[in-house]
Amino acid sequence: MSPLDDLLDSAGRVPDFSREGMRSGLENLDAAIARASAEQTVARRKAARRWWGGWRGVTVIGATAGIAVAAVVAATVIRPVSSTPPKAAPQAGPAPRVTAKAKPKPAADPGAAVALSSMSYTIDTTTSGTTAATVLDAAATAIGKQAGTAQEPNVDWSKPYFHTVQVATCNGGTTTYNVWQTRTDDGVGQATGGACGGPGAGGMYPITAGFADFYGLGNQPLTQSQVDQLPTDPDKLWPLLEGFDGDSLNSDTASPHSNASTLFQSIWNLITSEPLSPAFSKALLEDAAKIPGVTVEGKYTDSLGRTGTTLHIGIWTMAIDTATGQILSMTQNAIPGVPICGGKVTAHSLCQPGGSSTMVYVSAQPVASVPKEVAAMIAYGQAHEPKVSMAPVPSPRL
Amino acid sequence: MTGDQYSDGELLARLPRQPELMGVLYERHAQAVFRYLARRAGPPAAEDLVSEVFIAALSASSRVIAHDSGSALPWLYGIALNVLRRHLRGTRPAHEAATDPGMDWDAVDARLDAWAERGRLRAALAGLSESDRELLLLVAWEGLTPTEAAAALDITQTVARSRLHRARTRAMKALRSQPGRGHNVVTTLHARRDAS
Repeated sequence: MSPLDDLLDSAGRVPDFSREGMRSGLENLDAAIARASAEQTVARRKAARRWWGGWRGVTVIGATAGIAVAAVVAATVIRPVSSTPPKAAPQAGPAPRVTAKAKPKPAADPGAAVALSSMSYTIDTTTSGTTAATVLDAAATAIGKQAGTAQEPNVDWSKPYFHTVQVATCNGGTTTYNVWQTRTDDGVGQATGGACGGPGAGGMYPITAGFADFYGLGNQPLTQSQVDQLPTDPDKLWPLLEGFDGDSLNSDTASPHSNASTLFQSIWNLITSEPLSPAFSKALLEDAAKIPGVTVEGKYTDSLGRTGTTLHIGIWTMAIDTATGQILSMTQNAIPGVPICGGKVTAHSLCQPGGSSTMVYVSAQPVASVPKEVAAMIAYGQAHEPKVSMAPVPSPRL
Repeated sequence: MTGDQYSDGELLARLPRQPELMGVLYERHAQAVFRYLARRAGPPAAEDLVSEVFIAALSASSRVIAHDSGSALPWLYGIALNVLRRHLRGTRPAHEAATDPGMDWDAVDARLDAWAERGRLRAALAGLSESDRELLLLVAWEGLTPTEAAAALDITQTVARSRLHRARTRAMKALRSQPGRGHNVVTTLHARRDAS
């Protein structure tokens, strides 16, 4: 050994991590894991982006991490931009905030905006007598009646845009999210009403492809083309869904984040986030009926006059209308004993006091055109928003 | 704990959706991360900082892939360096923290039981840039391969190899220009430690 190596060897000798340090460190970590678990399911999914109304928290991680992880605390990129983008390419940098007069008109009639801001719902838990499988099968049958040809793609982009209207209720108030997106996952989100927090309230924000922009089922991320390859025969689809979780759906049923609940919630997310064909939605719902541990909670009624049945698994409560197959809502329930977001109230709707929050799905439909301001902002976002690079998504065995 | 059967690479792939698997990485790598921190900031500080590294890793775990060697350690060391810098910024006078953001020399000195040795080590490493020194130490202290150390520092393998060569050459040259018969002193120190 060289003198240098000798010297480094001496200087590098340190004692072992103490047993006590090891134990108390694990306690600290466990608490952080519990907090992360409470947020992780939504945080990964595309729907989460909408939940925040189009303002985005982007964690930029290099593929090999290291110094790139200098952002020990996730870097949050919040970039409001003008809804009337300048004709000439503007320089990089914060763009002006959207003004109230620049807001696009919602697609719905003017009265609807009032109804949405006072959105409320009730769940009557006294009724029961049916099983979750029966409820889901009925909904699947209803949605299957809309099915067209057997050859239609699972993800139906026959119209250039997909428009969703969702209302988050939390902390005694609401935030309404309008999201318009294109086939390439570029889009615009608009949030109105600030009860669920977020600087996005009242503003429009571009959404660009590349931000965690893949579909997921269970623990398996899927690209749009992979979703298109999934079979619409529920019996052929089911083994794939089971496999996506890696472990058996029955392996961790006691966990609030069980594999079964993750798969169930991901099906809900996929159907409400993307323009899926009725045939594929039907297959997903029929397979959702096979997921163990889902219970019927009661009857759902909301202030839009819609009724449905609520199902419960893990931390999730979902409502669906069995007569139409339409998904009505999804609630993330606070976990007793787990402080939400470390007890800090942040802009993240899931961090609101009480912890529980509900997304009511008002409408989701392919549309042929979008308001002029929205089209302009999508173009602006495509031209100027940073594309966040992603590590390759591991391919499932389809 | 479930997850023991997974490799580091599989754990990293699953972490974004299953944060509880960070517990498995902790069981596996807490000792190594502790030693990393203890070598640079001393064992008492390291005792407190280990869990911070894994908690920071939790919020940074989306879409991380393991190094080709399959180990999550290069990634964890990269995070540990950031945690260490933040810790040292908060505990030391600003001028020291500014000159040496990733190393607490007092803690290193405490392990070398002769004043001469302290001076020699500092002199050997003082001429290196912070990143070159970190590269050298990741290989010498943490036992990483040059390519793993490259991953921890987010530089290419080629750059890492050439910097490592440069760092060793400079450090040895600085050491040779120091007073004292290095090898003999170290041998003496080893003998003394073994005897005590």
